[in-house]
Amino acid sequence: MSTPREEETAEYLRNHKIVELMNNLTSMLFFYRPERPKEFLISQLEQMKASRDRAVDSPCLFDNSNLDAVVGILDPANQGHITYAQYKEALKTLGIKNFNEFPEGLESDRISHETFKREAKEGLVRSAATFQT
Amino acid sequence: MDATVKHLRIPPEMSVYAEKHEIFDLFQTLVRNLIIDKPADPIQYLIGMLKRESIEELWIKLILERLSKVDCVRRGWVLEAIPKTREEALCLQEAGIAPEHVVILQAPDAVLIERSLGKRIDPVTGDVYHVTFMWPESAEVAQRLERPQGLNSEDVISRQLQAYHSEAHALHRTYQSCLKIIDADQPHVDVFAQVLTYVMSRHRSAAPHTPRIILLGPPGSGKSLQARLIAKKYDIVSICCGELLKAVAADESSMGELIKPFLESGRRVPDSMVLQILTERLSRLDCVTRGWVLHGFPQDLEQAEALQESKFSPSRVFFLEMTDDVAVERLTLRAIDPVTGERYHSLYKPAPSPEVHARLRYNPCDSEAEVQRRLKEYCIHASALQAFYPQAVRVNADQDAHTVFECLESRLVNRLPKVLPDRA
Repeated sequence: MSTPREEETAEYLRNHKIVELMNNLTSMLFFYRPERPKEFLISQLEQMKASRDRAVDSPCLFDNSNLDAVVGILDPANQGHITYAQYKEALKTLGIKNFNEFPEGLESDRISHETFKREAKEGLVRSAATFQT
Repeated sequence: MDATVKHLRIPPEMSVYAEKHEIFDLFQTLVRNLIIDKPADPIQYLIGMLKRESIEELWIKLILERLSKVDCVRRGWVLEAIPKTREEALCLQEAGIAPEHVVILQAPDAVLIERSLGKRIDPVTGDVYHVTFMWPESAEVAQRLERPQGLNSEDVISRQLQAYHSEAHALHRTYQSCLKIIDADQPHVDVFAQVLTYVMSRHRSAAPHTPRIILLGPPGSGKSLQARLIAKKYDIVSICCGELLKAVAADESSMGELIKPFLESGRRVPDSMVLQILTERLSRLDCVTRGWVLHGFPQDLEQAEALQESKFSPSRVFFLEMTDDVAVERLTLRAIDPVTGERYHSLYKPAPSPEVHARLRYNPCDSEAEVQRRLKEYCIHASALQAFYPQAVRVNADQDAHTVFECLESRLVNRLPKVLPDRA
C-alpha cells in the first residue's frame, strides 16, 4: 500500500525521468572512469542542461561509429539490410525503449542500415534527453 | 532475481572504480535529496549539490593544512564559525579534526538582530563597538565610528538567522558529546568566563584510577561522615588518622608501645611516628588495590610535605570549608545516647523523648572551650595547607550531608580541570 507521499515521489521520478538520468550518468561514469568523478558529473549535467535549453544533442555514450559497428555485426555479409527480429533485438540491447515498431521495410523484413541507424540515433537521443519535455 | 535473465558481465575495472570513488553512496545521496526536495529543475539542483560537495572538500583540505602547521599543533587552535553545516562537520570528522570542546553561543533572535544593526567599527583601531551596548569611552573615538561594510538590513539578517537555525539543530546532534550551549545575551566578560571554564574542564577519562583522597577542614565540617559515605559508595578504605593511632596503641605492638604514652598524656604524637604508622597502613593490600580516603592528616605544612615526599601523595584533596560559628554550633550541641548508641544534635536532630534526652552524654572534647581551641589550631595551619595544595577543591561544608557528598563526588569522578599556564 503506497502512501500519497510515496505516490507523489514515484510520479516525480517518472516525470523528470530521474531513473534514466541516473542510469545514464552512471554508465558515463563507468565508461570513462574519470579521476575526479564529481567534476565529470558536473560537466555532463551542464551539457545536458545546455542540450535541453538550446535543443542541442545530449551527451550520449554511443556515437555514429558505434552504430556502424553494430550494423556490421548484425549484417556481416553486408547485404545492406537486417531482419526485423535483428532490428528489435539490437535496439533493445542498445537500451532504447519505445522504439519505432513499424520501421520502413517491415513488410519485406528488410530494414536498411540507414533506417536502423536513424531509428537507433533517435532512440538514443531520446533516452539521453533525461529531462522533462 | 529472475533466473532466466542472463547475468551481465560487468568489467572488473568498473567495480574497482566504483568502490574507489564511492560512487554508489554518491548517487544514493543525490537521489535521496532529489526525492526529499523534489526540485522543479532536477538537473540544476544536482549540479548545485555536486558543486557544493566539491567546494567543501577543498575547504576542508585548506583547514586541515592550516591546522597541521606547527603553531597549531603545539599551542592548540580555536575554529570560529566553522563548520556551518552538518556536512562540513562530517567532513571535518572524516579528515580527523575532532574538537575537544564545542561551544555554541546562543541568544534570542531579537537580541541578535539588534546587535547586528547597531554594530559600529572604529576605522583606526578596528575595534568593534555598538550604539547601545558598548559605546566607546572617548568622544574622539565615538566621532570616528562608522558602519561596517556589508551591514545588512533587518530582513536579510532574519533570513540569515533562519538559515542558521536550520543548520544549528543538525550541528547540535553532531557534536552532542562535547557540546556546551552558552547564553550570549550577557555582558561579554561573563560569556568569556563561562566559555573559559568549560574549555578548561576535561572530559571524563576512562583511565583506571585508584583514588587517594584527603579530606581537610575544621573540626565539625563533616570529614569523617563524608569519608564514610565515600568509602561505602566506592568501596574505598576510610582511614581516620586519630583512630588509626589509637588502634595501633591498643595493638600492643612495638610501635604501639612507643606511641601509647603520647596518647595517654594527650600530647601530639611526633610526626615521624605518625608517618611511619600511616605509610604502613596505606601500603597494605586493601589500600593499594581499592584506594583510600584519609582524614585527620595532614594537620600542618610539615606533615603535608612529608606525605608528599612519601610515595603516597594524594590524587584529590578536598577542603571542607565553613565558618567558625557553624563549626561551634555543630560540635557543642552534639550528644550520644549511651543506651542505644544513637547520635543526636540539639538543633539538627533533637532527642525524641525527654527520657532519652535525660540520659544523653556529651563528649568532653565537644565542649565549647575545646572546640575553640581546635578551631584555632586548624586556622593557623589552614592557609599554609591551602597554598600547598593549589589543585585542591574547596567545598562549602555548611550544607546538608548529601549535597556536600554530591559535590565531592562530582570532583572525584571527573578529571581535574586544566590549569592555565602562567603567562607573565
